[in-house]
Amino acid sequence: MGALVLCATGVITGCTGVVASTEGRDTDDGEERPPNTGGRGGGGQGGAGGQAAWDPGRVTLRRLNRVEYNNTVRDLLGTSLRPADAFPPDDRGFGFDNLADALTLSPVHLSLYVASAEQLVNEALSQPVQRIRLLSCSTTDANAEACVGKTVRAFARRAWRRPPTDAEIARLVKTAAIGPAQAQTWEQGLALALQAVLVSPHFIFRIELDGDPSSLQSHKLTDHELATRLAYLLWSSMPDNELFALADRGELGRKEELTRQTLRMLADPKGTAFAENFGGQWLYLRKMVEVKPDPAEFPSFDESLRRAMYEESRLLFADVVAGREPVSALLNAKFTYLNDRLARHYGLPAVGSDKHKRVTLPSDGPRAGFLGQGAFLTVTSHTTRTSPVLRGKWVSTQLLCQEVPPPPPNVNVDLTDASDAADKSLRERLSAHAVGACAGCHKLMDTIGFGLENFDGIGAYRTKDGKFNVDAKGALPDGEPFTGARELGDLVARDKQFASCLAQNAYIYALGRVSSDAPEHLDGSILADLAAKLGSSDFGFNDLLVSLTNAPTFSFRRGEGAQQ
Amino acid sequence: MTQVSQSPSRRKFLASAGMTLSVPFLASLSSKRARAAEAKPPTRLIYYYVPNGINGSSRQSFWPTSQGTGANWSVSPMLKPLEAWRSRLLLIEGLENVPGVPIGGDHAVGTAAFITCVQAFKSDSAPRLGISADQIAASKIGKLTKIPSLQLGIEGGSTAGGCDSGYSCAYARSISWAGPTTPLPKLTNPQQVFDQLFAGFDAKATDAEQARRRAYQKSVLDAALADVNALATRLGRSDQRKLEEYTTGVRELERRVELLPKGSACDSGTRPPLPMDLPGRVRAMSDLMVLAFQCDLTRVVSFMLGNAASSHQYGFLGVSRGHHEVSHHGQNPTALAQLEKIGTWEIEQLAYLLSRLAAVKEGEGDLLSNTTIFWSSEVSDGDKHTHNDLPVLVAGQGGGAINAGRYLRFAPAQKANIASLLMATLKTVGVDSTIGNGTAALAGVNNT
Repeated sequence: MGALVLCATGVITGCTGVVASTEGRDTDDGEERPPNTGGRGGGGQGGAGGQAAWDPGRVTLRRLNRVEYNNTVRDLLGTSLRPADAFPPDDRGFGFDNLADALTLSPVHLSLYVASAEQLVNEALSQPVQRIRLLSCSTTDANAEACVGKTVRAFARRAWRRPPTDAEIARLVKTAAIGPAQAQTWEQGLALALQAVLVSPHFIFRIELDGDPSSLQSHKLTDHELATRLAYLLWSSMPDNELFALADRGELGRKEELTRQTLRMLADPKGTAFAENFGGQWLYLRKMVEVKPDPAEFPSFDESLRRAMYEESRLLFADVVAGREPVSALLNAKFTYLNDRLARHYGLPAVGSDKHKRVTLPSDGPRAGFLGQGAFLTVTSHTTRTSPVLRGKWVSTQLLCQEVPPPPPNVNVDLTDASDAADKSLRERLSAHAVGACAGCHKLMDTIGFGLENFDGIGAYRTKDGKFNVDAKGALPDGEPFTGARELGDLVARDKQFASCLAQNAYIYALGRVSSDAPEHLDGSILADLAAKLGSSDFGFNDLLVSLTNAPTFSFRRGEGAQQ
Repeated sequence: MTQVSQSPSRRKFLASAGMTLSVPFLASLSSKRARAAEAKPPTRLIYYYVPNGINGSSRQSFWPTSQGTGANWSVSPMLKPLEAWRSRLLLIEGLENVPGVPIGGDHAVGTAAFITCVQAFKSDSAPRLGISADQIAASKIGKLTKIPSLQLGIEGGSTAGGCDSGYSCAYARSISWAGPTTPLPKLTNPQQVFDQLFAGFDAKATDAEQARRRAYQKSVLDAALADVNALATRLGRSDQRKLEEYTTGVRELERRVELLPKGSACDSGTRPPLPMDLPGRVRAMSDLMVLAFQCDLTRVVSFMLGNAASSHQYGFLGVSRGHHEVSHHGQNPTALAQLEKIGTWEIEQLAYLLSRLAAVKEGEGDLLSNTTIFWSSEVSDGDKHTHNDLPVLVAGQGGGAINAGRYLRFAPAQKANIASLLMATLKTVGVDSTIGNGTAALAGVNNT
């Protein structure tokens, strides 16, 4: 049987639209104004046309994901244990593992939280360096109970990311009292209370409270809740002492302070967490760890090349996030970061180091920006060959936010084993996609991916695919033609849809919820504003993050209403 | 919850019985009723999932040519590893799982429907499905054992990108669902499974030490519940639902702590080493299922040999491309031959599990005679993503409730479905319940 692609059944729709377009919305010129002027409670009809947007939305109780759990216990205890590596993988929504609704919690999680708390506390109380952080008094003298109370209060305050109440501390001291009650020590009791802090929903979840959970009236977060949002956005971890101190004084909510803190946190060594976690998922960089190119097809691929590719992309994205390079550099940077291993893979001169060095790319070479990097080209390939479909689909969904519907039922969707493989190039075989009902969607995929065929399944440059000459002519969905990664990068960087797509991704990641396009919702105008700003050349990714943390939806929320 | 107690002599006897020896079925310790039922061993369930469908060089690679009865049906090439088990198997041809049919996303939706028989709601971030067969069973018999049900697997899942055509990754990674919005993640590390089964059990600890340990664990859980209670009234509905997931977990752990002495009723053996290769991990998981049943720590297990559309590379079978990639065979003979190898290997893993279950004597028979295993895949043909004509095996005799040893065939016109077969499996643990689109237990499966 040949390379039949049975597409001509039914008409596929839905491959022309743009997901969640934000163009044409009014921009919000009043970011400092609390968004609750008006509100649903005032007799207005929610969602009625023409009404001013007021709704800041609400994010469901969010449990720490695996990365956040590990980073939090690192910063809380000074441990190098990574207990969450053994937790079940976190589910994603919109491609991100920090979306509240997608982060479910099972009994298995609970049992692992309990085991992890015991392990962490045992370590913390027995390792001198960690113990000094926790304990500044004696648990063996007459004041042992007071010492336990003091220690637990200080610990809960950091672990729960807010000052605990007296009632909460009283309960924890009661938990600790089981030590002496069982004819054991206060020290043993303290260990149990500290474990209880780490198992508590106040640690496992990021809790934001509404004064009245049944009220739709929007209200400002507390400073401690705001500090927590900032810290998990930029560090994927808990707030540090400076944030705690500002929150205690009620000074964090001021716009200048939020801006100052956002920039400080980005510059902090922990600020790399944003590039790793947001970038790791938006750009699929995390997949670089798990790809398994077929050794028979790609004998040169090894672990050092895997690491070198990941590092190259991570460094470029970190430059962009920090604002050292414009956002467009992600797509058309004329430089990159290479070590000798990767330089050899790219056929470029050695840099004389195992460590990555910044080098200028040859102006007549095929590479510029992320689309010419090994990591992207590898994670969007099959194990034995390139996939113009996957590469193009990635550009459409991740950079342009265009939804690509799945193939219709009962279609042979893979053409690798076609018996005419020997006679036809991959491009010729995939050209079956360009006719009939398949064409509508495949112009969002292969047509783009063809333009990258000069790179093989692990991103090495090539002019031949087997015995066939590579034809690297591609086109964007709107028909704009291009050849190669450089031209594609330039086109996408100029595309307004790229700006709004990036804004949408960053916004969803920052808020932990999917954005809403309901007219009363503030999301629409904020997204439009961010997209417009991203369109101007001097607006960097760091500016995007400052705008995000200053957006009203970042510091306001509302209750959920009384009825459903 | 009543406190568990055992006579010292009984405990001592059981503790000295090695895990590979014949352990009498252990009294379920949580209720008088269960103790009264001691005369009959408990029945158990395993729902066993293999990814990407079953394909071979021809239809007859998997489906035998002769029907036969009893142990007389002749096995196909791929079923050869099960030849010795024919009298304790049902091979069932012609079943469909219509809720597995999506609009795109066949692997995720087929997997979601695997033992829920409910069609997945298309959402990337907020999945909605229905309760799965194992969880229906666990809700009824789970309280009789330390762990209501175990979810086991081999693959965790990719850390970036979508899972299948805009469907939540939960659909592709979990066949067990406690409710419409509660997918249950699976354990993929054999050491973790061992810890779940035997955590808190120290064979050398005195009764007083064990009691103290129990009090400690309970104090941590009590503190958690106090926080929950103080918090619950201050949350909106969605937050409360999230918190309930947490509370459910705390309550389940509380039960485990109360049942802790039970660990001493069964020799756990040693914590398994961490096998790095796929065959090693599948065997370790199979051994743990047997151990969990043998010690009566759970009676309900679900197992995923891979996630939906698994891309496992079967290098040890000479197949270098990922399983999913190969499963889109396009009728290519090389690909079909590779799929036949993979499928045969998967059947071998089932045969290994059967042999391990049968090696443990229990009552008049063995563990296998008191177990029912449902084995299938999310699609039948990995290339066309068909959700009818599914490859289905039922192994074990369910305590006598399964009329085993036959090759059953249903014609497409009969519209026999997976849900009705799942209902028949639930009957083996005394649970009468509908599932998904099922209305009655599949005729001919149960002994009446």
